[in-house]
Amino acid sequence: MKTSEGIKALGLISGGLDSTLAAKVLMEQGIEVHGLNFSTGFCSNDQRRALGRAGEEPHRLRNEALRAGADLGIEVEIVPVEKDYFGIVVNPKFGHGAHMNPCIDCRIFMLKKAKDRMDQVGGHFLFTGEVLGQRPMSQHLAALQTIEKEAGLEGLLLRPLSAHHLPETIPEKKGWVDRARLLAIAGRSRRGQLALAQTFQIAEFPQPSGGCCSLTDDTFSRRLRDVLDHQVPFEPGTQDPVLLKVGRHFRVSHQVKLVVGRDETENQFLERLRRGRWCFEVPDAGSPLVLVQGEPDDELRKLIAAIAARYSSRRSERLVEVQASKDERSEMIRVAPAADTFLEQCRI
Amino acid sequence: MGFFCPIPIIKTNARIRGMQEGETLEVISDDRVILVDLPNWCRGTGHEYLGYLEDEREIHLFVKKRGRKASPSQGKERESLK
Ligand code: SF4
Repeated sequence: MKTSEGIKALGLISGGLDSTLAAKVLMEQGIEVHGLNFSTGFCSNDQRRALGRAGEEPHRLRNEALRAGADLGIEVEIVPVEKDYFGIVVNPKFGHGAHMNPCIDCRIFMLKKAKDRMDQVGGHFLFTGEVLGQRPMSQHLAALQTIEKEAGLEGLLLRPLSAHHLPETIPEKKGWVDRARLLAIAGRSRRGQLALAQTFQIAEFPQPSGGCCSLTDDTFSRRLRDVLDHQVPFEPGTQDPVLLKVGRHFRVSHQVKLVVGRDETENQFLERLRRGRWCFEVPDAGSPLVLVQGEPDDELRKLIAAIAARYSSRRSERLVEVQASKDERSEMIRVAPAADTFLEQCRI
Repeated sequence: MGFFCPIPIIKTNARIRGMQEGETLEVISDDRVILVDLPNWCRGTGHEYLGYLEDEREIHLFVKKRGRKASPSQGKERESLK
């Protein structure tokens, strides 16, 4: 007998189609659904918002989890976890994926947090939109089982979209959820999900290829690795992760790296971070703002000036005057623009 | 002010929890995407989105605390209060 009345499920809602469908499948059975969305500090959408590029259409930068909650008519609670989460990015028990993405640890981390929340709000079980075999690293059968076990959720984690491929869970055994009305979707094809979306008349959802996680991005991951290798101060949940998205990055010594703005928006963003740091620019020219992390000596300041000159509108001149300043201190440095071959050697 | 997604929503949620039903919260932000996110958050939580006022620097958005879930479409069509 099905007894879903008074049963509350908490689910990880990203706003993507899979988690939306998983929630909907349970809601159709009369289960009360509460969404959770963890703010890790590595969502590229959030980073684009912090950069504040003019003319970006607000709808394209909206929080998709909130949009999904609105469409489903359920609360999606956004939970900030940036500082704790960074620990598993740096040192994941199950390793990184192709880049800095610790997908298995990430799922375990989120599910543990979700379990805590479930206990606080009197929830009965958790669910996710995971689909067996959809992602090579974190959604094959062994990975799904590891994730469940490591999160301390054996039997209490329901994946409604792939339930028929997985062992029966406690909510199914207890009759809170009717297993017959769960699904048997598996693999990378999206056909099953798209058909279900049509059935439920879910028209709005972000494309799965969009990928909101910066940790799967090659350039971002390389820069994050550099930050860790060179012990650059880095605080998740601040502008530090956003800075890894902005501009061209060069490392000129173990202690010193620089970020060269590529356009007005990036220059303005770097400008906001200049207090207490060296900045370089070419006066009276089209010039990037060059923000320095670390304390460059005289030689390095010349080198950085040469890089600033290279990216200015005076790059073809033999010698260029570059202004270097840090708070009240300011000096002019006359240098030849840096050669591209040199830039390639120190580009991060 | 000066905060970006998802911090304004987290702060709004924390603040509204301590309020009485029927009280109105004013959210001040300089992130234009809040004009999409806050109404969406209201539609999900059932709080009532009353609309917004805007000047050159800031957006002022107003939310009335509701204790009961409203319909999913509630708040969807609200426009500027100006
Ligand atoms: S892609 Fe990013 S957010 Fe998604 S599971 Fe992997 S690490 Fe976590």
